Amino acid sequence: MDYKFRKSILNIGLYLILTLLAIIWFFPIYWMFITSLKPEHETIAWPVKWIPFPPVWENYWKILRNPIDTPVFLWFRNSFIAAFSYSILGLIVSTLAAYAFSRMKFPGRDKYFWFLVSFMTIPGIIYLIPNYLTIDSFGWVDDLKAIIFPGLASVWGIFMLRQYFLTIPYELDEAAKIDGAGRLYILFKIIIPLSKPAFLTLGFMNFLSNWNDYLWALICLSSPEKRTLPVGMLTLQGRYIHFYGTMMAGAFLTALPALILFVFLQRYYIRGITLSGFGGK
Amino acid sequence: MFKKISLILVSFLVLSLLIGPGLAQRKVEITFWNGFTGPDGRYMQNLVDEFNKTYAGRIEVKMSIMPWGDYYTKVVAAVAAGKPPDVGIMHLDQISAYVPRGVIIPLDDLAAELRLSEKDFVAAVWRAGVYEGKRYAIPLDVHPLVFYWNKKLFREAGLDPEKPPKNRAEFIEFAKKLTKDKDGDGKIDQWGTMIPVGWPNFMIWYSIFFGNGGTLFTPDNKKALFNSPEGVDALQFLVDLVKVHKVSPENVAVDADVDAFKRGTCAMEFNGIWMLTAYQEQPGLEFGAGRVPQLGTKTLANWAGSHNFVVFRQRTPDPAKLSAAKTFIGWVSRKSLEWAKAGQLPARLSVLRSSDFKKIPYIGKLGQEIPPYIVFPPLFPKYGEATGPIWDALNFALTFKKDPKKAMDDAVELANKILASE
Amino acid sequence: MKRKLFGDEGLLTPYLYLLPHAIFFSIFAFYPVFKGIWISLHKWDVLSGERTFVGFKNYLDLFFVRNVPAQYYWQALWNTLQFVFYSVPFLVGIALILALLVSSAKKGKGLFRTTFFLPTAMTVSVVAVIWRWIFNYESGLLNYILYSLFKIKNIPWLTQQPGAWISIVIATVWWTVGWNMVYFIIGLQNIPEELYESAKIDGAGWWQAFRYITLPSLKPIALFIFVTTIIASFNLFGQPQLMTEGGPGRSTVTVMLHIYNEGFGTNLRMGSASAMAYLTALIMIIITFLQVRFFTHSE
Repeated sequence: MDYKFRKSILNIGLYLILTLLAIIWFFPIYWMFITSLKPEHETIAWPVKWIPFPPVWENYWKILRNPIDTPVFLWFRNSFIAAFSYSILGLIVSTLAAYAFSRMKFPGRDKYFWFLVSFMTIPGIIYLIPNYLTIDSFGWVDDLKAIIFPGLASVWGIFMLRQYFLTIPYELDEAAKIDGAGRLYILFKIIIPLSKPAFLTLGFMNFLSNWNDYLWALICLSSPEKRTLPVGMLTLQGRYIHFYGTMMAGAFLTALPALILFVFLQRYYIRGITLSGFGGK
Repeated sequence: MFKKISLILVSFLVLSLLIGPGLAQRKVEITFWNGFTGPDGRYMQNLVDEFNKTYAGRIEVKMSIMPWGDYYTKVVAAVAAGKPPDVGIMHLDQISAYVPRGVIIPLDDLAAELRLSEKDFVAAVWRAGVYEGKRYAIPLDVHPLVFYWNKKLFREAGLDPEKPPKNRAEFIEFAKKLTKDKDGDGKIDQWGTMIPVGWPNFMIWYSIFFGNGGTLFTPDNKKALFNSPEGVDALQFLVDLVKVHKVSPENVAVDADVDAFKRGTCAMEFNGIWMLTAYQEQPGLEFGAGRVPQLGTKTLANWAGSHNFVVFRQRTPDPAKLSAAKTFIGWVSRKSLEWAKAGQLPARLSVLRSSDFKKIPYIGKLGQEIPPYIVFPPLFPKYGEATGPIWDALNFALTFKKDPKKAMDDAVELANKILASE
Repeated sequence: MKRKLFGDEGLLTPYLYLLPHAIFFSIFAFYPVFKGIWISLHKWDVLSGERTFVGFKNYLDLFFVRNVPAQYYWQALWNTLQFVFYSVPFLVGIALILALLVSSAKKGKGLFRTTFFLPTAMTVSVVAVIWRWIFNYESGLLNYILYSLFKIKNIPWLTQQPGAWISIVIATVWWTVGWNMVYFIIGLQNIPEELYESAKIDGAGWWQAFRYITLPSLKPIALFIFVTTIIASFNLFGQPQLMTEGGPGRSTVTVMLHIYNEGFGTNLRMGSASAMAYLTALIMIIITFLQVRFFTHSE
């Protein structure tokens, strides 16, 4: 009895702490949202209004009706095109390579694989300048191609997919081969259907990392109408630096799509980490 | 019958497709980048729209706005990548930095075409656009540092709301009267002034420094001189406002002064003329705006910047675009008065002195009061880089990390290194 | 019979599958490593097109000449090391605490995990803007709360040290600690339940179980977390750029920020910026190596 009592006290304590922490963690997002619902002079008013009632949407209108200064829809479109193309192309490129690494025998296979993996340890800092110059020589500065293609050099996706493909029993391939199936048939009819979770994971991870990319986009994109959302945020910050409500409305609009996607898809994220073998092995 | 009609329609369509591009080719499209992210952006957009209407079918200007903070980085990157905009705006103190690097091209012919002459411009602005004998910029406006004061708080403190302080002694006296502990909790909740540890404290220091009779650099621009007694005094004064007179809180963050002035917890504030519209929009704020009081020991001096039209160098120049760009600049330049309504002072004296301009609230008055006292710096390519250390020095001194003399000495040492480097 | 070159069992077929990635890899990952070294040996101005070979001058300048960019570089490196030192303990420690708490919860595990993981879905510019607003001196939420609860007035978070570092560390922890937490949760899941059961039979208490089972089992994942977190902290860029603008007085200008300003700001001194990047990369590799040594030797 005593033990149970102590345990339930501990349990209540645990949930109290967790709930408190969760509230703290969520609060900045809440604060961003409610600031965006206040008329400007109220954002700096003391005492603070914790629940803005009635909510005012003028800050959102200010941004959305202002396609010259802050073309949010254009930025959204750019971000979407870049992130979507990158994640699809990334899947194709990584799948082909991972398929070769996990299902074919050829000279130099393991050496090349570890050679690629060893590049994951090179600090990204050295890539900024040479890659910018390469992009420049392709004429891709201020072009979404600069945001889509360089990331395809990543080895991460190959590594992850290879780990996953190796868990698919080889007997399935053999059986199909006996039936006369070719390499591509096996890839499309056996490997890919069985790897759906891995694809979802990789696709979503690539999408999000591209969607949120800041530094590289900042370097490569100049004109306001070519920007992606993270860099567009910079324009918003410059534009509305003294207008906290409007700035928070812009921040909220920028963050919202990724937040929604994340809430629904984050379990794939976590699965991806487990799959890639970094989960403490 | 039906077949016939559709045939006619199709051939019509094909024909228009063939001719269409040919017709459209006569229209020249040019891009115009600037950093008018404030309310001024909307006024510029209106001007651009009007221009596009006037020149419909011939020239179309597409304007893009980004914050000044990354405007220069982006413009330079765009020029380097061979994809620059056609027309842009540059601040007066930046022009000399970009001419030697081949970012912008000379506009002498345009100045001649527009019959612009020194007589019609604030002299310093006019001269700043010239580098090694060639004109690179067409002045658009002047935007000075402005002294703002809260009239209601003046009245409450028994001061005449129509009479801002005139000199250093008065400024300190007023500031002391305006610094109050209203709720009696032993903590001050209304400040006489606020001296931020960053932007725009440089402009305040600059005004005092020139008011003291100081000079920034030797005439050959090889050595920095701002650790002179004039420079140290200007900084010492700002630090004393915080430390000795206690009329400004310590460690005022950038833009905190703006919020405080809006809220009525800061009675006297220094900021650009560009803040006017934001203050006018603040409900219940009753304020005055004027030139910076004579905080220096010798004379009145007022910091100001200036926006200038420039044309960027293209890898392959397109004569049609170039002439369209010039047409556009000339057209806007004549619309100075419209632009003044955005909250800037026109660079043209004829506009500045016109009765229409004088009628604009606040700005009309500022336009008469400030220009005689504006001091523009001597311009040379490293001006921006070499004055950078002053910003750091002000920050160090106002956060009490270094005393003003030491801060300025260090800044000069650094600036001299910058001036000496290739 | 001679094998065919192409087709299903062709000699070259595997390489064809590798080709698409290899193209991008060689252009954007392999070639740039060498191209970058080449650039660092030049005075390289993309604006004027100037490319003068200067040998190791850009490196030597950093060590011996100590001109202004070099002076700023060393300061930036010191600032970055400070941030690594301030942030990593929290990024790892808080992650472990959150992971332990979340793993102990029986119900609502997913909800709590999502809440702590959620900020990682945001882009740094949004994170910076939110926290800049919270830490705002005049009108910020934090100063408001401090004043209403404790009558502490106006702390200049972003314009004075240590406030600026505290703000950046808090914003960073809030933003990225979810990653490390998830790694720890996975690590905790992988500890076999039998270990705890046998410990219980041996009469071990909660602390002993934690000390002798949980911690040692987390060691491999902890190494991974430490390595990646230190690298991430080394790359600090957006938070100081957008929250403090490098201030007060250059004290939060990090290596990344300095290299950005030197190479991509209006200066476009790409040669010296490249030299700085390589030196920094070398330092990062040494630090990573030392960590791996430290973790594998203290068995």
